[in-house]
Amino acid sequence: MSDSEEEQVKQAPIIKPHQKQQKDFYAEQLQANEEAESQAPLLVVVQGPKGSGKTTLIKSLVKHYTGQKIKKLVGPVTVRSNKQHRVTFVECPSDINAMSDLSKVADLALILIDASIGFEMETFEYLSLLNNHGFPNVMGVLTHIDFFKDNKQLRKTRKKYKKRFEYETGGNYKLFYLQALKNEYYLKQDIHNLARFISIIKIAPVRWKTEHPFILADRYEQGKDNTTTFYGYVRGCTYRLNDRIHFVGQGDYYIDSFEEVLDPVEIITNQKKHRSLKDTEKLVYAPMSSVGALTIDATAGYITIPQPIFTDKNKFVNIEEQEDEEIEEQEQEQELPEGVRMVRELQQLTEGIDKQLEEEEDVQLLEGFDLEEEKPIKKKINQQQIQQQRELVRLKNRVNVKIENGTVMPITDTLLATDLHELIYQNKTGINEFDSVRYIAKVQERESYREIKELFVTGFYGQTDVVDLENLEKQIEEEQLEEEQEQEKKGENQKEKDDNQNQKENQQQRQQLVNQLTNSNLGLYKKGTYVKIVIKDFSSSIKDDYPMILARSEVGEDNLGFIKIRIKKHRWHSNILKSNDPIIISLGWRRFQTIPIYCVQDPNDRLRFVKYTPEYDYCYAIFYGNFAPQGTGLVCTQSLSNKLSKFRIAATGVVLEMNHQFDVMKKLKLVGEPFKVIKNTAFIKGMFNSSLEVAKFQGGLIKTVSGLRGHIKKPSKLGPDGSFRATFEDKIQMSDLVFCRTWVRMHIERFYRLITSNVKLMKTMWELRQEKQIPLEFKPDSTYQDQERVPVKFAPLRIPNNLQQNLPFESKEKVKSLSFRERLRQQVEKNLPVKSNMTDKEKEVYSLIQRLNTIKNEKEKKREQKDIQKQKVKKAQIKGQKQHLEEGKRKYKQQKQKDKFIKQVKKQQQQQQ
Amino acid sequence: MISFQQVINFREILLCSTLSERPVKIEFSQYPGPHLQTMLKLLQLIQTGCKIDVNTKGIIYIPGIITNQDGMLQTYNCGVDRSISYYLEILLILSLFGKAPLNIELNGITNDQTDQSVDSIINAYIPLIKKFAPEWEVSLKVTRRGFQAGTGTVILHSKPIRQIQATTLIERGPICKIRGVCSGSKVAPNLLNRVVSQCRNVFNDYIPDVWVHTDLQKSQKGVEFQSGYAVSLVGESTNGLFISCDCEYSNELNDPEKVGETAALRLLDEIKNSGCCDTTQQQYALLLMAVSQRKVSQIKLGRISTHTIETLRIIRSILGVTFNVEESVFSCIGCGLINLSRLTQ
Repeated sequence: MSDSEEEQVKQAPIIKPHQKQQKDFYAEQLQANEEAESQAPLLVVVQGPKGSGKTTLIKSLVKHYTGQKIKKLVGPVTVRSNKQHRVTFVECPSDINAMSDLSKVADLALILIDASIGFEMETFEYLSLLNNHGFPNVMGVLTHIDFFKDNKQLRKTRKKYKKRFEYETGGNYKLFYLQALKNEYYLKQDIHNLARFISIIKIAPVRWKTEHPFILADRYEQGKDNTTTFYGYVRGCTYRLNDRIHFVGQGDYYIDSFEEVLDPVEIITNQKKHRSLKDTEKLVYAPMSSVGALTIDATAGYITIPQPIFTDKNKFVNIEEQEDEEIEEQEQEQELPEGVRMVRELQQLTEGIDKQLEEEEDVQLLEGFDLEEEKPIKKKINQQQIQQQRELVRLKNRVNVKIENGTVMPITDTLLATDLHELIYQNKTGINEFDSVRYIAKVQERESYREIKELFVTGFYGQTDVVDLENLEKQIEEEQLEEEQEQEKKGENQKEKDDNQNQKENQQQRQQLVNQLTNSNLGLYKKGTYVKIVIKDFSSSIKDDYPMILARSEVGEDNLGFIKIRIKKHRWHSNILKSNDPIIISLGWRRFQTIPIYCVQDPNDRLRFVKYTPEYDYCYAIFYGNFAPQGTGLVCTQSLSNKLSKFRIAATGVVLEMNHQFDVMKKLKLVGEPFKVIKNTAFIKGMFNSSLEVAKFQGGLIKTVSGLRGHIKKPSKLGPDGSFRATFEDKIQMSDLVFCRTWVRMHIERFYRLITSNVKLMKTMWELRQEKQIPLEFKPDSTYQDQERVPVKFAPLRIPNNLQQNLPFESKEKVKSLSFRERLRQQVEKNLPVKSNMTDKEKEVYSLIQRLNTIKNEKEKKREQKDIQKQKVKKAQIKGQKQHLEEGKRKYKQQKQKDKFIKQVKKQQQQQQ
Repeated sequence: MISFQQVINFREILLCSTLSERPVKIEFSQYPGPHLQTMLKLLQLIQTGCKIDVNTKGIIYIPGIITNQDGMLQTYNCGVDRSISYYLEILLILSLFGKAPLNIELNGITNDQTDQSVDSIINAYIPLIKKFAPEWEVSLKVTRRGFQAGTGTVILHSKPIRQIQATTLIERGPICKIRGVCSGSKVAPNLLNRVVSQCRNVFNDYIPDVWVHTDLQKSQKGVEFQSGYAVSLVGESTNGLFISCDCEYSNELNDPEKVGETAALRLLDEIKNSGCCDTTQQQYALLLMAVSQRKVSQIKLGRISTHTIETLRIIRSILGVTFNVEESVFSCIGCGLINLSRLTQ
């Protein structure tokens, strides 16, 4: 038993703390989503390379949902997919700015892949953008499948693409296949499948969005006095009204007014009979693009009448078959539908539509959309309420409420709660007189507090009758027993039901609270409300095909300061990044150019400057920019050009820390030379320039090349200015070099430039060099040269006698070496004439041989000398030649390099031209 | 830049401004006193990148980031103009949003008649903040008492947190305990016991669980203590909420029996008239609600002090949080302030 228990314990999954946090976060977010009564329309971003069929896909989807055709697609399109659910489609241009902005807001990204070409650069760029701005739901869509005629080939490629897509997204995300086009739309069955998956998708909460509300503007109007009005749904989370708003890609603006207006694609709540949508309920809201024949501009609505389709019935002559099936059908019916009738009537008009509009008052062109002013319904009601309340308050105030200076106002029945709200927020006169929070109660008599006995635990003491304790206990026990019995009866199923009910009740309560707050005119707008924002002095121009994202500027996040991030060069970016080179960073809502410096952290927490980012590793970067919460992902690019010559994303990172100052240090080695050595003390010159500098480094550690350590003691009067006395652990050589290792704080540039539509970017050094044709600096001093070293002759090692006697046997000399005197005696003894035993003849022979030998030796000596001289001459010749050759080679090489660079520069210039 | 005119409680403005990192401009009709400078210097001590411009007409305050000097132990003299708790009230909230733990030794007055005592802060104010930040690690100790002359010393260690939780405080529950500290220096030890016994005398009609400690300052070499005594009482409810009050020796209250009785009656008055937190600390509860995560927070309050009303206005103009008031229940959705200066690995 015990073993099995142990196993069970072992098998229990271990939840790591960060996993738990993540889990908690998601659980919380899901709960919060459920609490929110209304959801904003699902934001579907359709992304793909040029010619992959983005527009066609949106058109087909809109046609599937509403049966309407979009002629020209501009801006977001919102459709009602079912009663509770709305979907907004946005097309993503291949501009890197638009891509990064839309990756921040997407709930679902439809990534289009052209099967005939395969994965393109944009797809990978967009995926890594999504990855770093919080990964929303992703669906792949494979188009242009009809390119493959061979069935086997098709299956193979499908499989290949699916595998690659799964690998890149790192999850089980669907990859759809869209077959051939039919009448400029995709096949009905394919689109039906795709739409089904879009409608059942569960939104993965992205942390950035759940904390940062934003509005993706559907349309905008530019008024006369430089005011611009934007309309859109509040997305992300509840919007708390603020005086400023950030137009992504344009800058910060002050809000002139912020109102809730009528929702063009409302959620249908009350009808329960039919689950599916009626034809009249199928709505498409695409104010910037042309739906059917209707275009809405900033000032007016236009109806375009293409000649062949909407001709007068009488003049009806020639029709192309494909396009006008529907009209034929309609005409078969006896009564014309309203729309057709209206158009027909309009055609027969003699007056302009403007004049007609002036005559008639309320002309509604589309349901829920008014050409005249939108009516802020909610605000009207609230204003009425407030006025009523004010009157009440005034009456009450007159009767009995006075605010005494420095005293406290009790909340009693005589004072309404609304009065307090009024008092706090409407009345603006200062009522406080002394800066102390402490409140000193005016104490009444002791007897007057008798009544509050019930506020204590022992509250019934003295007031109620004496309770029979035994009876009470019995009663309690009985009750408990009954409860237990009931619970047993109910069983587990009942329990679960009860729990569910409780949960629901709790949810409802929480929802009520949220509703109460959002409806009480405190400047809170729930997500999913359709709002109108008026901005004054909006100077910058707006591109229609560019997403207009208006984000609330959050507390603390519009401040500038230094940010420390963990950064990694993107594996597909060709260059490594250089410190102090300007770079474009997309962080939070903002995109800006800044000058980062890169650094790594030493084991003692020092941030050490590095000139370049490592090639395959993380490092830190510090730059001046907008604050964003820790853990926010960011993406760096080096330019904004749309040339796809190389992978545009340079690096990715995560925010770690924010501060107003960072100490990034760079290593600095000071070098000095000894000019006088006395035992362990040395006088060193050339390290500092003045004695004041020395005084600053007093006690500092220094080191010779061989590793002898020492200290800087004091500035000395000997030698040049800036020389000092130092002590080492041993005597140093005069030929030694002395180093002092120090650190210098790096200056981080306070450069920040928000990327707007007409921004002028700072150029990198390389770009400038290329532009001005400045070649790289060439220092002859920094090239490597051959070192000629003179071999050092060391004096023979001599160990004093005393020391030798005390040495251990191992290190002792085994053969006794002779002293000078002994050696001399030996030599003398050797040279002493020896008594010979030779005869005279022998002597003669011996002397002859000796003489012959000397002659031979002399000859050899002479020959050797000659040889040596010859060799010397030869060596000198060879050496001279070699040097000459090398010099020639080097000069040739330098010339060649310069020529090459100038050629390159010229070539690039030509290309640019 | 948000500007304020004729505002007396500049502390809350500076606090909100530092939390939200928004620069503010405060104009005065007259110079508030040396405590303004002490406050600003303290703020500068714990921040980097903070810029302050003071002249006779007002202040321009540009907040920086709270680094707490990388957790190094600091010593700061609060002076004798206001007591230590005047600065502690602000410092405790700011320390929640720091980069490193705050370790600071404050010198000054521990008990005086204008501000709440340090004991009330330990026993009631810190538990109140802990309701909003359950994981907060903090220790506040009085190492030396100081009356009037400012010989007191307080040591504070506080660790930063990530975010303040949304909290609902609606039911206080009955009061189950009464605790307190009766402190004094350079007085007869018997005197404190007399204060305590008089307190007990009053509470005997209400609750038996009363425990008031006495803390008499021992004489130290080289320190000249002033004579004085004070009592701080705290009532704890069954839901873990605390209600505090203070009473000190003064010219009017010159009798230990009188001090004891007044203290006890003041606590009864607080219990009677306040909601889930006492009148003194209510504005900080509201402020914490305003900076909490984006969820509904609620608190039930009793009487509202004038100081609180002005604080609520400041909260609205700097943090943009408006409270909904319904039958003495204040509710709001927090502005979701995240500790931006915190360190992450």
